[in-house]
Amino acid sequence: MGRILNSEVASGLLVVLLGLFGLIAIGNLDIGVANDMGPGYLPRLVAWALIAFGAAMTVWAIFRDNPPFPELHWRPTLAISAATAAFGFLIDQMGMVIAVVAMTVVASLASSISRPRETPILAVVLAAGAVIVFIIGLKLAIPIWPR
Amino acid sequence: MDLVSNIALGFSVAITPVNILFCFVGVLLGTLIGVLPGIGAVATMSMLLPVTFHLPPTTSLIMLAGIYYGAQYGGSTTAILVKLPGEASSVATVLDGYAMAQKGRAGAALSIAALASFVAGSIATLLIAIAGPLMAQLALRFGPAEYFSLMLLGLVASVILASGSLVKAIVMILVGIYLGLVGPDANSPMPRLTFGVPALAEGVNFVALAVGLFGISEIILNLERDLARVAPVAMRDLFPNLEEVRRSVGPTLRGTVIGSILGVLPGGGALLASFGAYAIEKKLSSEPERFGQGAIEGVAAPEAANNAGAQTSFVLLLTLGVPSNAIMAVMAGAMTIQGIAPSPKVMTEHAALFWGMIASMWVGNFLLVILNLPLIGLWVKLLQVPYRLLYPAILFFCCIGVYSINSSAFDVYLAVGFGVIGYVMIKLGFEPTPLLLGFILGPMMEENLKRALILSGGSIEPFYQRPISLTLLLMTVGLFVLMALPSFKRTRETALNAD
Repeated sequence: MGRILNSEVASGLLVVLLGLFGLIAIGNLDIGVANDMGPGYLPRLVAWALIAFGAAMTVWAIFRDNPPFPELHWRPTLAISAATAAFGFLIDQMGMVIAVVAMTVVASLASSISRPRETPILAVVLAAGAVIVFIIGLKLAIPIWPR
Repeated sequence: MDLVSNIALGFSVAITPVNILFCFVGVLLGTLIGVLPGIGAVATMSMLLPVTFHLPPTTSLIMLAGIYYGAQYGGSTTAILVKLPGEASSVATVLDGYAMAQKGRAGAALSIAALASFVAGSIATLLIAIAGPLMAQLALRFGPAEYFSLMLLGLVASVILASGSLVKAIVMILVGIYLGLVGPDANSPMPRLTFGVPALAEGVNFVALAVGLFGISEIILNLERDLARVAPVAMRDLFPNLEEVRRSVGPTLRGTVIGSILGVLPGGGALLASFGAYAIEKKLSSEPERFGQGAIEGVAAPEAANNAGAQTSFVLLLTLGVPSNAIMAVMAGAMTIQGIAPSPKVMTEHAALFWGMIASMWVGNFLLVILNLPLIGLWVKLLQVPYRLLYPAILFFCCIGVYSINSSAFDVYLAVGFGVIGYVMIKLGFEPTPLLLGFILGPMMEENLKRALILSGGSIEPFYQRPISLTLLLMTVGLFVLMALPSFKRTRETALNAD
């Protein structure tokens, strides 16, 4: 059964999902008519086109042999996402240094190629560089330390 | 003809100390990221958009353009030395460049690549100076119908150039168009498609989208695969011999012509140019069997073509205001940030900017030659910086770039979302480049379509009755027919997967 959800079937279904998501976002926006298009005209057209393409891709793929669903690597995906989100979460209130250090530490969990001994050094270097280049040099209005 | 005075105006802008400095910064940064694996020109230029706020418009565009062609230059350096095309447009250079390096001619290949690029860049600069005003004349005849047809052609052409499945490329364009429509709507005060999120009222942030798709997802992809390095080939001497120079002249000139033409086409640019030039050189050669075995022609032609193509791809943006590929989409973003709407008026109302940018390309190419030949040793060293130290730094640039454009944490979360979705889609064989073009062109197409239909009272007649629009639409149809041909499919697959 695992063979059914191969890479191409999954691609098709993903596209259908994107189209549906698009339709939901449109809600009840006015369609208008062709010579006076409403804000909902083109988005609806695109969303339905996505659903149609996705459905066709799925049906087409079911009847063919395709490569298996690709192996997604969760460790880098989660760690890099978390590191970036941590930066966004911390920068406003906690300032550049803490945001960069947190980002570097979380990002270092992404892969076994990182060496724990190097992480603190890298974090300090990046934080110092960030402050010098972006706050002192380019004068971005970002606090250095928690406010 | 005002050609001379225009070029003189351009150089008077381009060789001010500030502009030379930022041109230098641009090409240096560009070469750096071209050499480094796992970060490309689109992501870098997007990250730096917030920084360009603080620069005058001309200076910021000069720097961004420098990153673009600098990256290609760096990309070919790694293509030759370690068989790793830093940018897609140097894939064609790998074939013969690396073969030459293995035969001990790495230095010659690098010099010829640099010189061919420089010659091509110089000629392309002149061509833009001649063609620009002509295009601007043509632009006067462009109404909404023509714009719509031109953008449609660009989107369809970018589908052909995307590697992998055509259907998936079309899907990516549609997703891009949809994302481009989020936010402001020309005809109503209410933002649309935002789920009521106020941060989306101004639309999806371009930098968050580009950095997510091209920066963050790329880091994830690089971390999951083993970035084992090929040791750089040792270099003996930097200079090509006379025979190599003689063999390179023809391919360089032909590459320049092919690159210049393919670069102007919507959807074109450096990538198409380099493959086209390589294929033609191989066809023309009396000994095609030498290609792939270290033929200098196979280095000179694609390098000349990608540089010429990179430069002429600015023409559509600067004269018609239509970005023809993902890089130009970023440039359009930069212009908008600076308060210059990309349109045919740029050439007349911002003449100094237009000609200054064109002249700066020549300056930039010159800087690349004198900068890079002596610095090759340094680039080789940089190649050996391990990825474990590099990726946190790249991630930091992604974060600060996205955050600083609006000082918005929401944009950073948005970039995370696009990064993850982008990662999954790339794994499934969807290429992100067409999405970015769709994102920029989507709202422009909607506006022109609406205008054209209002003008014609809802009739689609203007699209096929106006000659320019009809020509563009016929070209679009032609591309669709081409796509359906089995022989074309095969050629495209071999050309785009030539590594």
